[in-house]
Amino acid sequence: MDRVLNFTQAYSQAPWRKQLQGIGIFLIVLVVVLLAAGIFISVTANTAAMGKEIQRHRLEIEALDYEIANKESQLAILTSSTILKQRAIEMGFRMVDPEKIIYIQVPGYAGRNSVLFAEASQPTMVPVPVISSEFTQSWVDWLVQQFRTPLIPLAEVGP
Amino acid sequence: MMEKHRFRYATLGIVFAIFGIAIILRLFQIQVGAPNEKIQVYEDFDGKEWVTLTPARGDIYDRHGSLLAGSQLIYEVAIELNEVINPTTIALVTSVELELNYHDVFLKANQKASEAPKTHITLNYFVSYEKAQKLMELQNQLYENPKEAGASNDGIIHSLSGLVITPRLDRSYPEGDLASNVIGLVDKEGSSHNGVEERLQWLLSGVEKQEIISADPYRAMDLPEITDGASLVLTIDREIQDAMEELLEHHMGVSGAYAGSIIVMHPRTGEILAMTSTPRLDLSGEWNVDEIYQEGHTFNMAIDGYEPGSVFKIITMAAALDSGVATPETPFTDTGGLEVEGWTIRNWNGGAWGPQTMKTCMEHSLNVCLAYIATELLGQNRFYDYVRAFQFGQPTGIELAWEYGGNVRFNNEDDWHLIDLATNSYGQGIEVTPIQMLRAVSAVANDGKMVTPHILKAVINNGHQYTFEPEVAGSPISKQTAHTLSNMLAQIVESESYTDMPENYRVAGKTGTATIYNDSRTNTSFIGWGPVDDPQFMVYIWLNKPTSSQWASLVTGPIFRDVVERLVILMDIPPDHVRHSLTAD
Repeated sequence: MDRVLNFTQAYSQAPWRKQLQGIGIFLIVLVVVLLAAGIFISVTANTAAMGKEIQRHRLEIEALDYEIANKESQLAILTSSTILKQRAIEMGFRMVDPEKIIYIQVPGYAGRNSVLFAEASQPTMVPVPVISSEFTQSWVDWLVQQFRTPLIPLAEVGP
Repeated sequence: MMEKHRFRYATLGIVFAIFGIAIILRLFQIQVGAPNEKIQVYEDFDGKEWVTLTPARGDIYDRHGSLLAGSQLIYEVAIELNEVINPTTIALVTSVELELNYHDVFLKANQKASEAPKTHITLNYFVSYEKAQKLMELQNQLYENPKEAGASNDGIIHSLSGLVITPRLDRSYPEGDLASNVIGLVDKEGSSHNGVEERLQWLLSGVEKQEIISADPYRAMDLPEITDGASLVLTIDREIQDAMEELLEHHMGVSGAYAGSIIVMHPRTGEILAMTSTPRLDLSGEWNVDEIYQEGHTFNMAIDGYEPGSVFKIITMAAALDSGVATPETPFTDTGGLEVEGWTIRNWNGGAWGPQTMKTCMEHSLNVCLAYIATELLGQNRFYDYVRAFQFGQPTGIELAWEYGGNVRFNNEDDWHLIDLATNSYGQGIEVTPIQMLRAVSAVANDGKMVTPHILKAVINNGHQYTFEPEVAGSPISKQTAHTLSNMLAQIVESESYTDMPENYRVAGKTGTATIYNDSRTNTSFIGWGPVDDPQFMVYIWLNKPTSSQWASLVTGPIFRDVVERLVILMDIPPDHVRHSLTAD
């Protein structure tokens, strides 16, 4: 019996070692929690910063759209019929004498075409690039999704 | 040792405890207690607000891409009471730059945000780009260096904080009055009136949305997308439109007419290349509608109704030829009068023209002859069947607001009389629009096929351009009838001295002079097209109450000649012999 006690005593840890282990485990848990918290804060802070950036860019886009529309109007005023006619007169142009017009046939030329601003006619489905949720989800979003997703697909649970 | 430091530890503990309790109490106060005055202003703001999202209005272009109606940047200047530092500066600057009343602005800016019914007060909704830029410069100057920017020495900070300058888009019309009767307008309140602007408002405006916008950056991607209004490409050709407006202005002056209209249509496609009407608004400037449009004026005469007079004889003759009751050589003896229900139909000069043929009846525009055709040769049923086939009394559906459908009294209506048949045959007692006349007579120019006039060429929406194909409105007459009548009308133009057409272009046409009820003056019209063997343009001219002469042959005939002269150059149409030699190669 004494031999057994001696054996146990020989291999059991000293009280200070147990305390140290306890502290070590606590610290490891603490470090893990701090790491997780750090990652969480970093991710959410980055997301918030990106969100603000997106909001800022949207405002910029709106401002640029306004600016472009305004510039188009300004350009149209500068090239309006009245101004171009005035410039033509100032530059010495005059109405053509119909008798002096020479008509020649240009193969393949069908006259001045109507304007085409965009792809003509039928709309087609444009494939939208799908970004994996792994690149768009925040850590919290991912956690929430994990909680919400049943471990067994619902289809398999039914009778 | 421990006893020695016990007091220090206890003191430190108490201090930390007091700090902790203070923080907890403060947190409790913030959560539950009455908020601070400054916070109270934002009490209702939870990071979300209802916002009206207004899509950008679509642009309007001519067929070659020249901008006819677009958008320009203007600004709303407002006061945001929460941010006002010095109401005096705001009142002073806005009274000088925006010509607002100093006292009014001061009273508005000096209100307490928490007591005011609303914290956002609009001062001016239509501030120009230049004025807004000046205000923003001043605002920045005062923000960066208030002293240098004119702060007084009495220690008062001059600031334009709280003056909010927000950009927005307003309608702009770069071409001024060009085609304004076609385009219509959008007023400062954003309502569209007349023309394409009103008729196609549903396409141009997009769909306004009321949405909750969150300031939360995590919800940045949730911002709602709004679809802007579609842009439109019209069939109008800016150069032709400009030339027609210039010609109309000139001839209005020469003829002393009260109002006038010229329309140019492609007879094969129904595309309106130009449509002008007087008076016109200069859409780029300030105007008073009541001053410009006086009694009897309409926004667009091309879609307004009137008694067309002799141009309608084309319809009667088309019916006679197509039904086989007459040929160009069918004889008719004009005695100068035709009795119908006790009324006597007379010719334009009151004379008797003696032996005639259908061709010369048209050439001399004899009312008696045409009334005879309608009453004796065609009969009421056949005549009105053709009037229906030519779709009189029905709007053409052109993409313009307020198109009039005309007024035809058909023989199955109670108030119809036989005299209506006689007068209708030469275009009196029947109300039609110039655009309806073009639609109907396009059948004569276009091998018997009547085209639907349209002014919308394409719609640009979501990156796609949808182009409209020409539509055949019907085939009221045969190809043979169309050719026969076309030649008859071409010979009329050739025989008339007034036309003096540009050499080497064969065109067809017909004048029309109509009396106006209770007025000694007339409505003068002309409808014509060319080249006859391959029609590229069809023209309708209407001058209301000219004073230089009451006869269309002297008023609208010369206009048609000038129109053709300009059109053949602008549309690159070679003289007939050149065209024939080029196509033969």
